[in-house]
Amino acid sequence: MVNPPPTPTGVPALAARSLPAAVWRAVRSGRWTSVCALLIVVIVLLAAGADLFVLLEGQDLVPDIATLGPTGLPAGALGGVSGAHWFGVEPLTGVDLFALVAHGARTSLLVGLGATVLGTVLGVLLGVSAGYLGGWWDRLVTWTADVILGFPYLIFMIALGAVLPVDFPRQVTLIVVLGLFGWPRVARIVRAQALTLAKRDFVAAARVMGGGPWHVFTKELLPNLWAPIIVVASLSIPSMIGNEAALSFLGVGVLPPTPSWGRTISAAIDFFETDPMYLVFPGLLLFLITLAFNVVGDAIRDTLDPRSGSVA
Amino acid sequence: MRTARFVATRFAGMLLVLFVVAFVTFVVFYVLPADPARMACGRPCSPEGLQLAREFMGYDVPWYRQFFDFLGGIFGGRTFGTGVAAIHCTAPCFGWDFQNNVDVLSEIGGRIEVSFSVALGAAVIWIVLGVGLGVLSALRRGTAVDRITMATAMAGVSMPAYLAGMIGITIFAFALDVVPKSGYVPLTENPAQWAWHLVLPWFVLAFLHAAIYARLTRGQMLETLGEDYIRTARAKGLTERKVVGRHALRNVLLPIVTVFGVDLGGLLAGTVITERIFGMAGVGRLLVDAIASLNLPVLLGVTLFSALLVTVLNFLVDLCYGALDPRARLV
Repeated sequence: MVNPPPTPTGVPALAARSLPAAVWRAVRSGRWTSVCALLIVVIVLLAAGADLFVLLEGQDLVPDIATLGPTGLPAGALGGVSGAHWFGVEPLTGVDLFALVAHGARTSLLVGLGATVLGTVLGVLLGVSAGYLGGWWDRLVTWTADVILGFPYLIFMIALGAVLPVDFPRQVTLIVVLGLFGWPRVARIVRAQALTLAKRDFVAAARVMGGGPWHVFTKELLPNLWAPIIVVASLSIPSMIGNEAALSFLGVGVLPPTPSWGRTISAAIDFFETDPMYLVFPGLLLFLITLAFNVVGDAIRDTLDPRSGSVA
Repeated sequence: MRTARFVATRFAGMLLVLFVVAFVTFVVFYVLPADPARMACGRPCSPEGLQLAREFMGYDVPWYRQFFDFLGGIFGGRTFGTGVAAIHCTAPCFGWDFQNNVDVLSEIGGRIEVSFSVALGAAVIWIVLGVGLGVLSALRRGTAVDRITMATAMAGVSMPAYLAGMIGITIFAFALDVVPKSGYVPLTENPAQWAWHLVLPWFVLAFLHAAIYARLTRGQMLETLGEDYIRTARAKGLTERKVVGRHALRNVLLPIVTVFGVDLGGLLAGTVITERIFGMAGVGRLLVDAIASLNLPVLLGVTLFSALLVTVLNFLVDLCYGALDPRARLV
């Protein structure tokens, strides 16, 4: 993967073998995809530099009732949107909404990416070993994956979130739980690929020459599995972000005082009739980041795996 | 004979899944530090009182004994405590809600109608809508219809249920004032009002899921239409309607059925959120309320009950799969 062989002349650009190049081509494959990729970059920057941007705005996460009107609702039009408060303020507390949304982006992305990484690593290890080793291990992994896929895991997580100890960092718990329920999707796809790869001559050759399972996994199988892994991982990020937000929305995800889009949206429901602007920015950002990851993930799939794509 | 063996194997598999799911759920909830006996004991809680509460609730025996007590309760019912204060929970007993002094299953039973009404109506709408739009997009590939459907589908996939619900309420209940904002009317009481109160939740849930089905159907349809047997059907002189509706659709439905089986679990979770937004007192609400009061028997009971439900429904989906695809029966 490090040094891709030069593409022979005459072969269309589609046959490029380098993975980063393929991803880059996917991102640039259409105007919409480029816009969405840009959106991801912007939101990632917003999350990474949340403190900096909030400092730039001149606000913080501290309540400030001076920004509220006599009824506890934000003073001024549009939920208090102004030069000082870019997204307005939260009703009753007067916390700056831009600060809340920027820090919420950090929570969302952290949990979404962390759970995807954990789920993908687990899925690849289990899927490859099942496909390559076969036998009872294969049957066990496939069966477990099927059970987890059909299991009402969100219900389970809701119930689990209610009884988990409060003093443990909730983001870590969420990453672990979402990752543990997320591996079967990866494992299924990777296993199917490993099953066909294991029968190929170069794998047999590596084995005959004395390569152990680990050598075959890292040197022979993995380089051929990167494409499906990237596809399934990029499409799992938005669903993980959505799951985190849903759990926080129900009050069993990220706990206060850590900002979370899901919890802000949940709070905004109570002010729906009096201050609808409260809902707009966290809701819009959650929708946009999910949409952007979905669009880009789709484009990557169409590029890396043209057969299974929706654009036939 | 072969069909009977297919059904029997799947049924045995389902029982095994149920046992494992019950076991894992029970162990996970047992190792967590929440202690229902301590909560029931009240404040101040003397050590003797706590011990009594534990004995009464059946928490004084080792965890594996508790697990088998629980399983035994499902099949044969169980009795908590002894003497005059004893509570009998008739089979199938999914636990006893000590906070409200009622058995968990009848709590679920009293609310299941709401959740079923939401889930089933939505499922019917989204399958019809999703498959219909998917077929339409595939046949009108590249046209404005195709592009608009696929763009809407992408938005639907990316929209969280509660956000779609809020937008739906804003537009149709507040701005246009054509549907009720919240609440539920039992089907037996007034069927028209029942449907009227459910229209918005149905379409909100359906919008989110139909998107996935439309995309899947479209891709599958395009692939199927390129197959040789479709060309043969066309060459025989069949009408396009028969080619698509009979020959192609049957093949397209196979992955749809698989995805539907997987989605059933998500549908239950979807109703939890829908019930919260639309103010309905279904099983989802029971779960959310149990979280707030840390009602462990209810949490455990609802989790296991939904696992049971999903597993049984998946078993039925498997049978459907066997009916649709003769090859699947050979396994």
